[in-house]
Amino acid sequence: MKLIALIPFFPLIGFVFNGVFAKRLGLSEKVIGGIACLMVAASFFCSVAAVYEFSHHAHDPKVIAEAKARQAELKARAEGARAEKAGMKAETKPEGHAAKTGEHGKSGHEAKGEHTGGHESVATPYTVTLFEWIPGGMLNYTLGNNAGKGGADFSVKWAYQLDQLSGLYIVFITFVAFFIHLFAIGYMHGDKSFHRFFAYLNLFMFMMLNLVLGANFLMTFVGWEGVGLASYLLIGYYLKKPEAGQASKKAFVMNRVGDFGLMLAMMAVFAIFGTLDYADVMAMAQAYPQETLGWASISFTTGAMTVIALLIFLGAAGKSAQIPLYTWLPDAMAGPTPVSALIHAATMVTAGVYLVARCNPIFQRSPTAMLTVAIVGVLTAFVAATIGITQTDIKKALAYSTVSQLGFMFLGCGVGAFVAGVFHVVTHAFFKAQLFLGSGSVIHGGSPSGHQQEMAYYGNFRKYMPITFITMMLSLLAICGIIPFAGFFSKDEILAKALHTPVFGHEIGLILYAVGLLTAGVTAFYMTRLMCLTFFGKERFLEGPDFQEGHGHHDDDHHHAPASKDFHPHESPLVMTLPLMVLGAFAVFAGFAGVSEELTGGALPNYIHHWLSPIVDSTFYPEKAVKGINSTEWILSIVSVVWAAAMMAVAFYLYAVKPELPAKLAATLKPLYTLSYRKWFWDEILDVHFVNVMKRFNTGAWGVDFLVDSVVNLFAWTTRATSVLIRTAQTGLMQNYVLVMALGVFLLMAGMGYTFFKEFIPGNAPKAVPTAPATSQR
Amino acid sequence: MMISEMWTPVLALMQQEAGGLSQRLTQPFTQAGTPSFLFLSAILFTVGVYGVLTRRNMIVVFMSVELMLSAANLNFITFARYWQTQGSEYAYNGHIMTIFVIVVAAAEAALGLGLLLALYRNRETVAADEITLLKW
Repeated sequence: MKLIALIPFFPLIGFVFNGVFAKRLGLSEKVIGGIACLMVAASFFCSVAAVYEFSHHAHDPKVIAEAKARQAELKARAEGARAEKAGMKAETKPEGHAAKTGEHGKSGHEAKGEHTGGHESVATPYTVTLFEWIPGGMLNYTLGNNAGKGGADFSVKWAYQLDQLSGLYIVFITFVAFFIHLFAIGYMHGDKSFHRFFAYLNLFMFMMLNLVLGANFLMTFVGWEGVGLASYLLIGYYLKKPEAGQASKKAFVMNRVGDFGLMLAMMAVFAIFGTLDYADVMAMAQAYPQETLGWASISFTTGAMTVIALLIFLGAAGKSAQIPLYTWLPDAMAGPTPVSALIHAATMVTAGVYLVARCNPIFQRSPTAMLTVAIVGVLTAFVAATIGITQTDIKKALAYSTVSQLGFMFLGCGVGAFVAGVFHVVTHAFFKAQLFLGSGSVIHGGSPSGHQQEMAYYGNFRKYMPITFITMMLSLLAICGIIPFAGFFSKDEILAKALHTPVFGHEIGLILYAVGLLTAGVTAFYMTRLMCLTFFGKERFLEGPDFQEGHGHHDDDHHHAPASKDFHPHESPLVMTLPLMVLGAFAVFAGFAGVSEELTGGALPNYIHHWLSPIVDSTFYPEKAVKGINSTEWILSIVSVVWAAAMMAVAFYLYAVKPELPAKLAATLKPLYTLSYRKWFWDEILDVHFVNVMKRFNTGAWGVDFLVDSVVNLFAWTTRATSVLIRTAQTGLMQNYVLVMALGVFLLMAGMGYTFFKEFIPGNAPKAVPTAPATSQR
Repeated sequence: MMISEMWTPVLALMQQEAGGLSQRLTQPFTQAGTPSFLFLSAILFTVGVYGVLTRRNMIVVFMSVELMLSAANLNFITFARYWQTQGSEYAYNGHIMTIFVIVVAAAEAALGLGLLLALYRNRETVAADEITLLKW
């Protein structure tokens, strides 16, 4: 477990090797891809070993006792009342007994150890510090309980932290990433800069593992920016595609907006807690009371936690493509398909959910922030799902589906179901990565050029690509939420928790649930549509532009002759179908790791929930013990399954059975169709309200620029004119200079002489001087 | 007797005057006053400055500079002698300084003449008003 620092460094080795040496050594594709895969596989095995060891570590009573003592100490420090500590301890001790669950009243933890028994709710992070990265010196607390009471040492360490959350993340990230790397060997076959692609992928893995393993906000931020960089490089991987370059820039700039929030959040965290280490910050946050719901809490005096939480969420919304910063993700599909699967579906975009789950003690202290997260999440889910209905590009449709699913995860976090949100991250990683890889397989084999993404030129591929079809069907059922596939358990738990949310009133919960359920139906509809257009219906692949005269490729400058009409779509090689099958299998079975105990009455333990419960603060929302099978849960589940199945049937009828109907429907519902097809005009709104405003601002700034320039130029011209005048004095005649110098010396001497000897000048002597001093002593 | 008595005061005066005269005649060479040397020094210096400012030939300019240095040396020596009569502890500083200036002046003369030779080889002239390389 001490070797967790190695986990991120395996991909780093791969990145350096593939990036620096592969081209020079002239390695073959197999070697390059093999190295990249090997490094990720090594990370995966290290992760599994570390998590296995950690699971024992987390149950060690000594470790738990130490963690509790440390938490109590930190909490006392955060309360900022060392002098009153003793008195408070006496006060809170009875409370600690009264509140039987959770970590409330931690100062009485000695007594509580027996209450909780085998079920520990204390986080026991295991930290490895490599070196001190930024020794910053003493800084004062300026906000929060301790404001004005001394300072803290700003010392950021290059440290990795293994706990339940980061452990879960590293395992599924490296697992999914390994198979996506494997798939990419087949998908990128024949690409001119194969080594560059794998170097970037490994760079991404290094940064992503830094992000989730980092022990403090700044380490996470390094990874956060690093995955942003890798994402930028990979979106713009096809250097000759102009839209890829545009999309990469868009992604980068929109992420900066979010990162700005995250940076402010980090500053606020340090100003309040005096540290950036997750373990310390989360323990100290528990010293703060719950803040009120409403606008008044958005202020450092009355709602420090709200401000931090909202700023963190701004960062998360940028990275995880939530309203209003989501438009970069669909455009990011300009990158290669494995990139879309790895970065823009399975791992990087879930970093926002990771951060929110990681900071859940802060979020739980702020109902305002929780409500914001929930509303933004459910709105994003709904808007993105409706846009997904009309997309014709297979990857764009999947991208909107990703945005929509991310919205579900944030809905889960927002209603207090952090575990369900993270669980959905995991299941989504499997089935969405599978769907993207499946679409990659379709793109790869569906047209002669291997770049056709328009579903208009697909159709009836199930005949040609049986493995892709079957595995994608499994993922389809998972994402639609059909029992017992993976997506059902996670999504249904989120919806159920939204309905019974303890954070807000029942009405808000009901609205969130209703919108979420509606969105689930829409999801089922457009995903089925995508499958129907691709795998069912009439064969349209011969109508594609590859078969037209004079078409141009994205990758090539020259024009090709039209492809031969005896083309048939073909199934991908094993290196590509194997990942499809494995991920498809996980899309089926992963859900059983987190079956809600309300459904089974505890017959099947909710592994994910038990695993993650230590990192979720239960001060305000203590868990209720599960008492047998809950019939309400079953009713909700049946409702959502029936609803999803119905929407799937409708979609199947429309797009597979009667393919002429959708066009008619679109004509009848023209306004709605346009709204969806033009993505709710979101890009246009951003253009008008932000981009154009910035452009106008820039025009205005030009005026300022002119003013500043004028002043600077004025000085320059004055200097020049003066010098033209003065330089005539410089004759070059030595004796002129000597004359001037001699005159100067003469004047100087005369002046000095006058000053010193003026009293000896006749008639100028001061009256009071009695005798003139003697001169010559001869 | 009368005649002798008549001349006595004259002779005495003459003797006195003769002594004073001889004293006055020898005085500049034995114990001339400090102001006299200072005047001489000032005259030498002024002549030097005049030479530097007016002569076209750089060699003469150089010689004038040497004159100015000599004037400074004379000044040093004068004050050294003055302090000597006052029994001051500074009595020998002037001497040392003068020797120092002479050494430096010798070096400077060698260097300056070398420069002048190089200048002449390049420009075929040593006229100060024809060398205006430092013009803007």
